[in-house]
Amino acid sequence: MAESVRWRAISAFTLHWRSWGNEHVVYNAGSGDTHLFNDLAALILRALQEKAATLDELSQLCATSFNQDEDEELQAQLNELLLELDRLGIIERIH
Amino acid sequence: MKISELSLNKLKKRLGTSGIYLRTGPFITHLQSKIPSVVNNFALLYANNNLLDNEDFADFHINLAAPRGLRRWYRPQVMFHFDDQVPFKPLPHQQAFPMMEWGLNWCISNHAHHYLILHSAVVENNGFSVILPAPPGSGKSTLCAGLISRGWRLLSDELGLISLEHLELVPLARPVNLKNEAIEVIKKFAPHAIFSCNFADTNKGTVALMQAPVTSVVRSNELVKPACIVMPRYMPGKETNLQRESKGQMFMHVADSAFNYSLLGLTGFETLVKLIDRCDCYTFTYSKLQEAIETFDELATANNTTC
Repeated sequence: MAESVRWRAISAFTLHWRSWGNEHVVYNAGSGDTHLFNDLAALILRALQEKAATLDELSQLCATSFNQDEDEELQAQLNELLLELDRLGIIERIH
Repeated sequence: MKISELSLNKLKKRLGTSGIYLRTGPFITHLQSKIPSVVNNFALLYANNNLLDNEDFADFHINLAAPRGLRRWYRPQVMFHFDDQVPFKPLPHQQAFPMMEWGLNWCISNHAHHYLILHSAVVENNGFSVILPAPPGSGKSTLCAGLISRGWRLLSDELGLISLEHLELVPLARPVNLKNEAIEVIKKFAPHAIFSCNFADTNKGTVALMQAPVTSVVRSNELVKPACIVMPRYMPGKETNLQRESKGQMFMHVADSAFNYSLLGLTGFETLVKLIDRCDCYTFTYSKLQEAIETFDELATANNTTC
């Protein structure tokens, strides 16, 4: 994935949230789909609702939030997650 | 006036001509049929329901009738007419009464969108309500029939109605639909209950219907706040096991089981959020009906003690 790729969430008005502990249910009023996310996915999605970010920036955020090393494994995991959120139509890439 | 107060002959005549107006929960159904098995099973299973005077309005106009032509004589069939339309293919004549029940479920689940409608049984004990959402074959109706034969109130066997405005469970006490082995299990468990005859070779196997308890029918105007959601699963040979389920997982299960969650859009999401917020959530496996009832009784007692 090119380093310059930035991601952002679709309109904040379209996504509706309810969280119970480490489970986060998100309703996408645009598609009518409902998704159940874990803490990691929720953190990324909320961050991308606030502002667009690159994989590196998101990786940094996750490492800080979950007290984890910012290594290749985390980047690979995040990359997969971003592609999945993109496939679900909840985030989009901007250049 | 109750259905049982009308003689079978008078009921037969009315069903075969102008029809009757039946109240089940919040709905009025205008029903017509000349088919003897519909008349007889209806008289038996809806004996405690109120017969309304000829109304100006009905939510659903239903007629079970034989098709015209040779089919009347050769392998006779039955057709379900809804507001003068025929939404389903005909079924064998012997399945006329279950077809009426399934058709009425279809009418409600496809039209009553002022409720969030769950594919679930709903029961209540001393103000403590339990929603039992589950896919077909999970033992939901067996458990429901067992509970209502031991004093729990039936709100619904098949369609859990949740009012969008006040988040209340709306009773729809109609016959309980039992399938295959469950029929004999419940006949032994509840020998005094009233059952239809068995209808063999339906697309659900053999089915029989059990009359709703009279107290449940009489209390059809008493709405109740949701308290608990239990997702049941009958598993032969397994121990009775009630386990907490997370709210997120239960949200997804219930959304999947709802007939009109998607159709209601954001209102459906917000209603379901409120429902899950206020309910304790469990999964439940069982193989012994008596033990299952005792577990539910304990759950109700514990809840009523803490309230």
